[in-house]
Amino acid sequence: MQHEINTFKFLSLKLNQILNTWSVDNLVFVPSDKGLLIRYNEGMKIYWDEVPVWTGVKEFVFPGRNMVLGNEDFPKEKPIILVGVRNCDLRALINVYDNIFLKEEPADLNYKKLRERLLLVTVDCNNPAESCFCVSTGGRPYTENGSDVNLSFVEEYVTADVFTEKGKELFSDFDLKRASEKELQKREDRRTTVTSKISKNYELKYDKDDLGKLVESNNDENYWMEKSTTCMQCGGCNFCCPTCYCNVLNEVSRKKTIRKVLQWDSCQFPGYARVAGGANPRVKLWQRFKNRYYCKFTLMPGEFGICGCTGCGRCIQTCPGEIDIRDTLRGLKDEKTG
Amino acid sequence: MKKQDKIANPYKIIKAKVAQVSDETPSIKTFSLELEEELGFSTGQFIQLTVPGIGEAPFTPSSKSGVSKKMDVTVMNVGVATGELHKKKKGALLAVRGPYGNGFPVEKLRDRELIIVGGGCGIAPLRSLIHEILSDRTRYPKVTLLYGCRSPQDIIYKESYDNWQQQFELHRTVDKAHSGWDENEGVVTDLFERIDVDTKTCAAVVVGPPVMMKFSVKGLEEMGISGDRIYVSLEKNMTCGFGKCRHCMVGPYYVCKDGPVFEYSRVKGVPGVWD
Repeated sequence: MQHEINTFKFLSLKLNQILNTWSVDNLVFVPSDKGLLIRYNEGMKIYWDEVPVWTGVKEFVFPGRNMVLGNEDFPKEKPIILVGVRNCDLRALINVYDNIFLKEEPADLNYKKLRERLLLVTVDCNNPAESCFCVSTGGRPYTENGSDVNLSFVEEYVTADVFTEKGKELFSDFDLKRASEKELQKREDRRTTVTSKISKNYELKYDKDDLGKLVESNNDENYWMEKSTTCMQCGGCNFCCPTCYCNVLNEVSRKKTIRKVLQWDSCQFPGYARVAGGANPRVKLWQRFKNRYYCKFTLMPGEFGICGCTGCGRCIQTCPGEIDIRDTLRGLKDEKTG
Repeated sequence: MKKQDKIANPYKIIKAKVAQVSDETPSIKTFSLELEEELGFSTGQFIQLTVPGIGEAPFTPSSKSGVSKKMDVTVMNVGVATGELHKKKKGALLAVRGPYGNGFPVEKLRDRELIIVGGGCGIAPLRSLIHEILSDRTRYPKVTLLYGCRSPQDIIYKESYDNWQQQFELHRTVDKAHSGWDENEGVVTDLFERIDVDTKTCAAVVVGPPVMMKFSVKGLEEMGISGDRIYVSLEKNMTCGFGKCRHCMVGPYYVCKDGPVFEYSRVKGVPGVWD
């Protein structure tokens, strides 16, 4: 359904007034200096340029621990407005999480409740990190659809693209001007500059068929062993990843009430695929390490229509072994093309 | 939107009481369950069985398929959940959810000569299939049942073989025999030379430990049975049961929803399939 996009503009100073108004009936979250999305309070400083945002949308719809059985009461709670969501996370949310937890039968009731509570206000990336490479995996550092509202900081102005009815309601209390052609052009120029900057962070372009096949067909044990030398199997790369959703059900029943908690899991853990009898299809570290790439670049494109890596760069910043996903991929290409 | 609000919780369980515990071998027990609500499953599908406060594990019921409040689950004591389960007595509270997966392709097995190869506790899901066959006997012109396990003491469903012997061509083998055992000694593939069917048209079903399945499918293929007529039931770490957790994936397949029963030709050569 094509929705007519209204683009408003306002002075960035006015943003605080807008956030204050939203806070009356909603829980508003904004980026902090640590790159965390935290509760907005009037007068607080907001760090619009911190990337990556460490708490992405992930934790709001798919918490690290969530009781999925034995807690069927869903009290009516205030909507949550996440302000400052990046396009890399939005793409993961819509294409991967919404697909697996809502569209693929059976839908997950718990996810649905959390998802419906969210309003998403995305923000253009103006100051990407060195670890950002969304452009190389099919993304862009700005949002043109999929969120409720997208904000772009252009000089002293903010432009606001309104994509949904919910988004429209957010601005109904304000008398805002339409953005002019000139302002939109300035935004466009800025987007082009940032996009080009990010594309230089990683030159190997993601190609659906190409990269997936490269990963799948590389069975060189030595290659994967070399790349995973410093892997500590901590699972950090999985937990911060906006497309990872592997989870394990923990049994927390009390007396006669059966309760289950769904918890994040990591495919890098040795016991991930092991069965009780002891068999384990990926008993070696390099097999699990390769599997992460196989999942993201070979399987997920077929399952979800996008690359399983959105190029957010969190895993690069997280890894205590300083493993850079780009380095692993680059090596594959070099090896094949010489 | 209204309609969507009614979606059920996919993790919903049905409480179940242990109605009877049968000791099959020192390490294998069959639990007959009495469910609070009816649950329907087809033969070869699996359920998730909860041991409250301990954990959950996937099992294929060994009883006859259909909609009922009764279900048998045969469990080998190999880990934490199964260890605690083995301590359960009549009247204990458990819970099941499911069924999940595809089950045995009964419609593709009918009207063919059928070879069933079971290893150890792998005969449990096959017992459900055997019930299915016995209830529709005329549709199965010839059934050859081969069963192998470690020793005569490790044979499960000991009371069933007299009946099965009359209905099927039955051959059994044990890895290590003792005095009094007058059947075969050796691995299950040793029994393949006794198979007398048209390998160009027959179908085969293999369930057992990975290494036994690996060599069985190899042996069956060498006899001329093509991989698309050999069905294997894979044991992987099915955690959610319905394709949301990725634990059971081998290659591009979710064992929980694409399987657990696969035409062997689909999974042949997939890394880790027998590990």
